[in-house]
Amino acid sequence: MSLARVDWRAVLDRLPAWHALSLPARETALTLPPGDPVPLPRLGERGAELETASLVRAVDRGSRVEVASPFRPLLAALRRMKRSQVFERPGRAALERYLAQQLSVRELRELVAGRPGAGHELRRLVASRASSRSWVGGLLAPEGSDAAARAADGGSGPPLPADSRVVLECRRLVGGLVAAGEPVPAVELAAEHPDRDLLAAALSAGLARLWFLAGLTPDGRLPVVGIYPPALERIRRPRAGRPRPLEVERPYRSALLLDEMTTVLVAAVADPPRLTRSGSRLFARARRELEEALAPLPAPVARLLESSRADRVERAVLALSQLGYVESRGRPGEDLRLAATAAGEEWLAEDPKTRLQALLDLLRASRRDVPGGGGFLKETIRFLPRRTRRDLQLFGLELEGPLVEAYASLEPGQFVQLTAFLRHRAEEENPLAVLGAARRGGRAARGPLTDEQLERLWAEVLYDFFAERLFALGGAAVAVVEGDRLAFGVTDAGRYLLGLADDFEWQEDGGEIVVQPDFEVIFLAPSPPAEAALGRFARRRQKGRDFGSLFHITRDSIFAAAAGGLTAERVLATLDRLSSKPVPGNVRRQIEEWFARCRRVAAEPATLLRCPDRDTALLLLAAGGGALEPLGETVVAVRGKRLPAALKRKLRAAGIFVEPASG
Amino acid sequence: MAHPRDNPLIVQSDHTVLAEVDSPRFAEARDRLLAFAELVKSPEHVHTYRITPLSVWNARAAGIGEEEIVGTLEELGRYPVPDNVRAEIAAYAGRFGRVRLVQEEGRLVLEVDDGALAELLARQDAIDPLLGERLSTTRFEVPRLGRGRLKQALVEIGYPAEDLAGYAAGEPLPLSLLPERRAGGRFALRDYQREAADAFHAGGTSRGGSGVVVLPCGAGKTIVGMAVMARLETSTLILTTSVTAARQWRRELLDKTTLEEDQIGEYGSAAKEIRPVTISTYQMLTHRPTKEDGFPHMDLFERRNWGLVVYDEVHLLPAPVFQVTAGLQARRRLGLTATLVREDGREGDVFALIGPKKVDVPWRVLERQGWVAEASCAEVRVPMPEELQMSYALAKPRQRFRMASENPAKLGVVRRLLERHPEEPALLLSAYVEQIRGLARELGIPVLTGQTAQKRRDRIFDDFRTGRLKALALSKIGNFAVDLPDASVAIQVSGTFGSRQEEAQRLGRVLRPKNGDNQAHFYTLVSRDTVEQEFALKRQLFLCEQGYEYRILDPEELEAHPA
Repeated sequence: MSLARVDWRAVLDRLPAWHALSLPARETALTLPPGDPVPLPRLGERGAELETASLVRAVDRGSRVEVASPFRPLLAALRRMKRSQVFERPGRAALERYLAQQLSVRELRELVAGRPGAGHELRRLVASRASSRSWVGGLLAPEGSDAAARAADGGSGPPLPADSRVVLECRRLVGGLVAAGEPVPAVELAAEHPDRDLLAAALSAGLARLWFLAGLTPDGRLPVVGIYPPALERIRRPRAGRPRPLEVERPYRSALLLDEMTTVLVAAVADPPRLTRSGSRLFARARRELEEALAPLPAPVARLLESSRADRVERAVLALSQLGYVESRGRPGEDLRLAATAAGEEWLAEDPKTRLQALLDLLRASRRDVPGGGGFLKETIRFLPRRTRRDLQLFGLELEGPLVEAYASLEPGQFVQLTAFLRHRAEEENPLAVLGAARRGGRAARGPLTDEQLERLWAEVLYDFFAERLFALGGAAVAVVEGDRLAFGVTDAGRYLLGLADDFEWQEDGGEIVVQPDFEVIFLAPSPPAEAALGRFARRRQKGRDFGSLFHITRDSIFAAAAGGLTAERVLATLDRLSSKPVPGNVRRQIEEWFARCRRVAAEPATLLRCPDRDTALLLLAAGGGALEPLGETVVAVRGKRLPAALKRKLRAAGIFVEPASG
Repeated sequence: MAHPRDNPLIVQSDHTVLAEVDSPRFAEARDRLLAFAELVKSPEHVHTYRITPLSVWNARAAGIGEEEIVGTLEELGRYPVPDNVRAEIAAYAGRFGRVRLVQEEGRLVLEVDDGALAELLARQDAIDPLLGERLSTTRFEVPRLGRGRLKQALVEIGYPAEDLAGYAAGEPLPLSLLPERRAGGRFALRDYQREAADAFHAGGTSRGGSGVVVLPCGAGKTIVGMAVMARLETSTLILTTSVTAARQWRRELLDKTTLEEDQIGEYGSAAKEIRPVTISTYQMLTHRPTKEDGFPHMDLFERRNWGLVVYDEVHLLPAPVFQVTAGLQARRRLGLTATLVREDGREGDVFALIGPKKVDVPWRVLERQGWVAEASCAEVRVPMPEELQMSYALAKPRQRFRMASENPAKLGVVRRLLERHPEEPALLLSAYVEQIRGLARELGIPVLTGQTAQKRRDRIFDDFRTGRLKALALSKIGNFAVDLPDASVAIQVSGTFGSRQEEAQRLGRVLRPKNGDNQAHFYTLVSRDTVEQEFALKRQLFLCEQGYEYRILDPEELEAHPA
């Protein structure tokens, strides 16, 4: 018999007698099977006390004893409670054990609206839900509230009892248990209750629905009733308040994705990295070189993003490919390379702000909640990150608006702790519940989602957008506060991305960058935007993890920049703007000279016509006209891989026969 | 710990330390850093140092511990010291002094801190053959001749020995520095020279007596050598890089010490004198009739009871001399150099066999104090004459460098440069004998090459020193230790590809203090858009890394820019 099916009226009536027993007598009594006689000696020294309390009576001429019938419901209930350790060692395993002991599969299934599944699956599902705040949320919710409506609508809690008096009594009981903050002795519940029948009914109903559980105190063997501790903790936890604004020092801002894309694209222009035979991946060495060229991240940021250098290269290649800025070029299996397209070179030639704005505009345009937005763009460059779209596609909800609203709640320049922000928005401003995500998600998954699941989901949506969009594109600045906690604020670029501004400021931070006469550029403090700007014409030399990162201006890096469309004037203007000291004269002069040495040469296929002597070459030129170009005294060229048939005929008519070269 | 933003140091996890010159605490940081980190480069704004096992061991040998090193980095750092650097410093520092060489009842003994380490060392293939009888769990007898090789091997496996075994006294030689130079004028040690000699001498204890003094070119390393000799008053063998340098030593000793002519011997190809103070060259010691023969002059080390061996320009010490030095560990050894960095990477051998760094004075300090001249460096890019451009383009890569170096258009630029500095003594430096002879002929100035007889050489040097000659052309012999105190302009018309060492030596020719504005000029002539320009970039980087201002000019711009 499960605890819910015990005769709780009988149990309540006999509880004072149980409390009056000594602990050893209670221990002895708990060893007695309620319906089966046992030999008298088994009671040992406690036999007399138990007999006096009328808990046992002698049978078989006094050789054996059995539990007196008025005490049998109590003993049955206590023995079941004894097996439960759900208050002593709360945890998922203890709860599942409790469920296995107390509820049948049929009863479990009723708790989850008849969902199919084997016993262990149902136990896992019920344990998960019963651990939630929302399991009793519907019961406690005031009439007319969202939670009450969700409970009535078959939300995440169990079905309510049919008898409204029992419902009210359950609510009173649960309310008292929440207020108590710990399991309450059952005898206290009964002590002053005016209607023990109603209390008994409420106990049965509440235990059957797992609103509360029953167990024995380990030291006194006294029955207690309480809410499952993890759920109680969640219910009692203060709600997350609005995050308080913080003063921060040295906020760190970076358009990481821009920097990564720039790094890859610079390589694709200057020395296209090799691709594997299939063209789908970079060769390990090429990838490693790109990884080494990426900007190092400060440790807190690296921890925040949890993405490896390899991930960052992959992300950049994907973004560039999808934007049509790079393509695989060459012969598959022989020398396939990731090369920049004309559009890529054009983008690369822009200043950092224009490049960033191009990306932000694409994202803004992909918003589904903006007229004319969305649709045509592929994965990487959509407003919502891929995981968000994957996780929430089942819901079919418009999330862009609420997401923008969440970040728009921060004033410009205001910094708040990231986790406090996420928790507040998830707990107090969670649009998923309002939008009916619990039920929509529930239909596709295993039943309605709990409050905690909805909160986690929304926090993840907000976090992914923060990490993959706002921070990656310079839309958020971060700072370490209170030891190792991360605070953030939405930047101008972030507000632009969110559609809260029509333009944004984007300047590389100068002031702590030094261009040295030996062509090195040293960062005395991190400045990712400046690193992104320098990455176009200087080679990163990995040094340290956080500070002092260093670039080297070399002939090759300048040639690569020139190939990508940069000019000496623009490079020097960037250096002048960034460097806190005047750019050394030798560096300035050398950069100008390197640029001056760059030439563009057009390559085109041509067919060479080798003549035996100068006269023949002259005849050839006379016959061929403008299509032919003399390359020397006896060599004439014609554009194209083959001699045009018409020209061949024309020459033949002039008595000049073109034959394939021997060998 | 708070890390103020205007602190000068940034410690990076690759063990480099950046020092910002404009920081208010830079000078303090530089002085403290030098004790445990090697200066890698010192361009205008941010200097780079590196912490290596050797640099930490040098610090430990000078009595500086791990706490002081990390404390300095923490105190002067702009950001926290990376954990890995902190751990490595602790590891390096913890290894120094765990192994010691001591004298014990007339025996040379290797003492090890604990049994486990002793066992580890005894089982090393490189160490085991160098150890003698095991005297106890942690003590080994060491054959006297194996002292140096054992120290080398211990450095190689990362457990440098602290050599406390002391030195042989050497033959006594009464000697002191003169207050008045014999050539006239007062003479006194500069503070840093006295401090360098004191640091080396260490009060005559076994903690001193061997080591390296690092001073910039022109700072008077020879004077420090003489000061050390005066403290020890013992017979001394001085090894230099060339005959000219040997002569300079001789001249200095006679000018500034109580030594007389007959007490100083020259051991060279012309004469093989062995006297209380004997000067020779590395070339002489490593000379052998054929490659198969031994080194007949190496026994110079044993031909007298030297109390001190001076290794001038120790960064150029040739490998065979290292081998012999390994057997000379009972004699005091003084290394003199402008840089500990060796192009062959044998810094560990210098540490093990000559000794730890005793003093390192940055040239900027000396420049500010007026002890070395301020140098301005300029590269003049000289176009190749049009008629040579096609032959250059068609020449084989190997020939192009020479063609560019010998660009005849450089002559005109040299003339303009000499006209620019009419009253200043100027040196014309070339890597090619034919080129320098041709230029000298055109300009009407004397030329010195390796084939110039010593007498003529001395006479020309003398004329130059006394101002009778204003310009002098030198082949590669100008690279090493020529004492030309009045040269304030150097024009290098060609060089040995991108050799940094050559650049340093040539620059050193003009760094001695000047009268007046104490300004020296160092010009490099490079053929524009040729391979020579690529090599010149390496030299340019080197000079910039040393902290010199470097300008790039076209010949036409010479008039526009003040000298």
